[in-house]
Amino acid sequence: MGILDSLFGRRNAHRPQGSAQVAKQRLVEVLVYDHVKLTPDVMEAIRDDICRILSRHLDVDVDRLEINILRTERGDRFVANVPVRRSGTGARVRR
Amino acid sequence: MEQQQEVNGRVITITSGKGGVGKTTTTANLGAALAARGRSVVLLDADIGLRNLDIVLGLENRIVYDIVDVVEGRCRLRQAMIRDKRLNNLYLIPAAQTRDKEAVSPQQMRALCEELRRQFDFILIDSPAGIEQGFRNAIAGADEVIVVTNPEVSSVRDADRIVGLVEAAELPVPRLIVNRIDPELVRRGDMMSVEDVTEILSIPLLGLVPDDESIITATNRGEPVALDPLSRAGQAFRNIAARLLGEDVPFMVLEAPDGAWRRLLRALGFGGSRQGQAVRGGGAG
Repeated sequence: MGILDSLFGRRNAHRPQGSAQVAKQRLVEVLVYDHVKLTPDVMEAIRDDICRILSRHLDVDVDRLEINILRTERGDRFVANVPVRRSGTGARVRR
Repeated sequence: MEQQQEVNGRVITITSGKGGVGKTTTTANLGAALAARGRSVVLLDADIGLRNLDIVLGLENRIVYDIVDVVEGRCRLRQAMIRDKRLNNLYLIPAAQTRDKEAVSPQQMRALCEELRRQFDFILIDSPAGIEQGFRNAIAGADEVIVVTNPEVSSVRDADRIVGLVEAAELPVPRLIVNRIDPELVRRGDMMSVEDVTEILSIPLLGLVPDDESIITATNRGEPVALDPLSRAGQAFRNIAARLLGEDVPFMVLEAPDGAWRRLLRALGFGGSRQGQAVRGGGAG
């Protein structure tokens, strides 16, 4: 129903997803933290520790370091995304 | 009580974590639906200090004694039982309105449940909101727990918390009722579907109840909507009661009210299948 959809469903074209999907995503995230019982303070402390240890060996872009707990099919998973600078050039390496 | 011989009834607690999701309405209607199916049922209002189950059932003018009077020995158990106006095998033990949740201990609740299960097929306990002492009392004597939630973020989050606490109390995995579903919002993608909610909570679905004006009008009158044969919500509660009796009743398919465009599209052969799917929860059965 592509053509009719674009004719009658134009209002929705501005919204990439309904608010229900937003609600679901927010819930999934908040429940992961509820389950692991991590407070933002603890997450911040983990982040600092990771920065400190990796910085001994790598030129870590501290401002862009991201850590997250993600819900996956095989359980909850701690994920760190650590951008490193190329030594000497100062250019940033993408993930 | 009419029946003299002892039965071994089921003690089921209805809880939610968050307030205002429909625990009391659910308790009243499941009780009415089970009683209408010929089972003997007693409803126990465990929300001490915030008595409400009597109002939903229209029995507020008949209260003499309450649950605290029973556990403190000021009356006999049967003196605190109020018989329903419509169904002669449905009884209510009201909460105390002027006491607080510490007025009853978990031990006293357990003893009360043991006594009641010898006289009734079903003992349905209306839990207070929250996760504190009142909730712990409400599940203390339970065999099973039903968690009621609405399809929105905070009530599902609280329901998740309750599921964890019920499991920590070594009770069986609770079953879920998703209440106040608006099929039109689900169709538009602006309300989580029953499927979304059951996927997140990963507990078995016991039933789904549409948001329905008839609940408001029935509650205004003090009549359980489950006794209204024309009400969709009433049918939903009757379905849930049947599932509690072990019957295999398919989940209700909620249809959004049709707009003119949608009717036209469907008449032209477009988009007939989408809406039923979007609202239906976790498979049939």
